[in-house]
Amino acid sequence: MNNVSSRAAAGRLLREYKTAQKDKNEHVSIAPVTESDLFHWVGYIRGAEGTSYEGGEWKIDINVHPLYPLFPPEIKFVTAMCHPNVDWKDGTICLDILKGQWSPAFTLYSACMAIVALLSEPEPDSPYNVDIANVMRLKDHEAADSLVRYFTYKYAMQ
Amino acid sequence: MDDVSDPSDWTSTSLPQLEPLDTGLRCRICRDWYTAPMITECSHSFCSLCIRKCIAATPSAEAPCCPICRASVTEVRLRRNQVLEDLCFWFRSSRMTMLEFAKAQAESSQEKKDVSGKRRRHHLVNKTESSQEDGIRRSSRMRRSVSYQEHLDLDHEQPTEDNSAANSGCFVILDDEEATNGLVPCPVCNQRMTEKQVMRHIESCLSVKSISSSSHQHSLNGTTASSTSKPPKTLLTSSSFSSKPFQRLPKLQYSLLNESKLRNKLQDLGIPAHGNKQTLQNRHTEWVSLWNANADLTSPKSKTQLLRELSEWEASLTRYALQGKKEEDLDAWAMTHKSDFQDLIAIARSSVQKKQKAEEKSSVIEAEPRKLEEVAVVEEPDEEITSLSNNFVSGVSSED
Ligand SMILES: [Zn+2]
Ligand SMILES: [Zn+2]
Ligand SMILES: [Zn+2]
Repeated sequence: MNNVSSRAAAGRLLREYKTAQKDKNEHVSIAPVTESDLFHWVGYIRGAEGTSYEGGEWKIDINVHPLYPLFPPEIKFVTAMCHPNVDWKDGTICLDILKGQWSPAFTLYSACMAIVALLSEPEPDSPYNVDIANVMRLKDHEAADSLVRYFTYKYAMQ
Repeated sequence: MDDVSDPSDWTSTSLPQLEPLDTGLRCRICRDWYTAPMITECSHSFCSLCIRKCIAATPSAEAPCCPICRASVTEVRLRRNQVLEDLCFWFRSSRMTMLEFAKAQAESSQEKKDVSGKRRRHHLVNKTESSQEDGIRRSSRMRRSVSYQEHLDLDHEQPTEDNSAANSGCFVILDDEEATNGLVPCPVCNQRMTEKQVMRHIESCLSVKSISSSSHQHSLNGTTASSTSKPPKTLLTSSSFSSKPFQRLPKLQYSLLNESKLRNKLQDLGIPAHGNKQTLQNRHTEWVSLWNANADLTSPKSKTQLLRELSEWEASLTRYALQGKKEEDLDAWAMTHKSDFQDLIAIARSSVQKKQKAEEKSSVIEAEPRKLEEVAVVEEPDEEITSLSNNFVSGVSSED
């Protein structure tokens, strides 16, 4: 990236990469796909203990806008994710801080932590995945839970 | 990686308490040292360019807000935060020296722990030798890490560890003061003196340098762009700092201008005037941010430089727009996943209904049977699901 605007973004991304290497976390690990392109990252999100996502590991794809951090990163699940706020078809995530509520003070890492939080606190009232949201709204948590656990088992383990 | 300075540099040193100070002297938008910091009405500070661009990027339907606390922010109410700029400058001018000192201290105390007891005497005899070796090993490690920086072509953050013999020597000195009389180089002029002298010397050194020449720029240890390696405005004598050549540009009410009038405005400003109205508007907005932030700099850049930055901004956006998303990949993925999901949802619905019926029957013993059912689904997907998945898998392979 040899241009100024992207250079500002690259400088910040390089610092984020440096911190990401030090702040290894049990729920999130992220890194650029290759060191030569800091605008495309890949990451893994692990479900928190005691949630239906426990034991699963999901690959995520992070595309960084050239004017980052003025614009939010585009984060998608690559591994199938059964969640009311995640599009089953393309892995798009419905999360306010990845849209209008984004602030340049957030980082790729903090955005990923917000996704982890979303896993334990789904919002079935603004669903991307209407089907699982409906099951959740039936208030039979066991049905939703076992469905989520099944998909976690099928797609997000080993 | 060591070439990009970062607050986490302090974590494994003997001065980890400097990490919050280091963080506090960096802008939360670019995460770099403050460049012409501006304070907002909510008392947060950002680089002039960072906050101006941030305000300009706010959708017109929304009020611009502070990236940290989301209080509303008005561009005309931004004020320079001179003290912050000065503090930033002073911290940066001694950062590398402090950091090397704190690293060496942490390492030597680690060394002492390692050897403690057993061969204390022997260790003392060889102290000078081993710490020098360590210094050499470290600087070669730093040298290797520099290649990544060059690859990225960031002219940010000169890898000062690499560019002078004085600095690698400096490391050895700090590691073992006795061996070299405890002299350290001035971060500005590289003259050697004791640490105490440096503190007193820097101020006079800077004011002499800044008045006498703009032709010879020092590179400060750990500093960034050349425009910020000069001393803060307050250090300059009034005679050397004449009136600003840059007048701030007003914002335009784009809705009140038609395309050709806007095009004329751009021509008057001497910036490229091609493209449709939206392009013109975006370009004008960017130019106003670049221009007005430049006016806040202690040493403003030339208009030629700003024009270069404008065209680079535009090029990076064009590249991004042309990049093209990998839509086909996603469609293929959806095809492989969609139908089994629909099937399973149907099963889940029916199992919910079954369960609700079962619940009505045995509402007294609640917990036990539910748990069993749940385990059955998770550990060994029940036959219905397994067979569905198998059908699905065979279906896909026959389709292909
Ligand atoms: Zn900034
Ligand atoms: Zn604020
Ligand atoms: Zn000096």
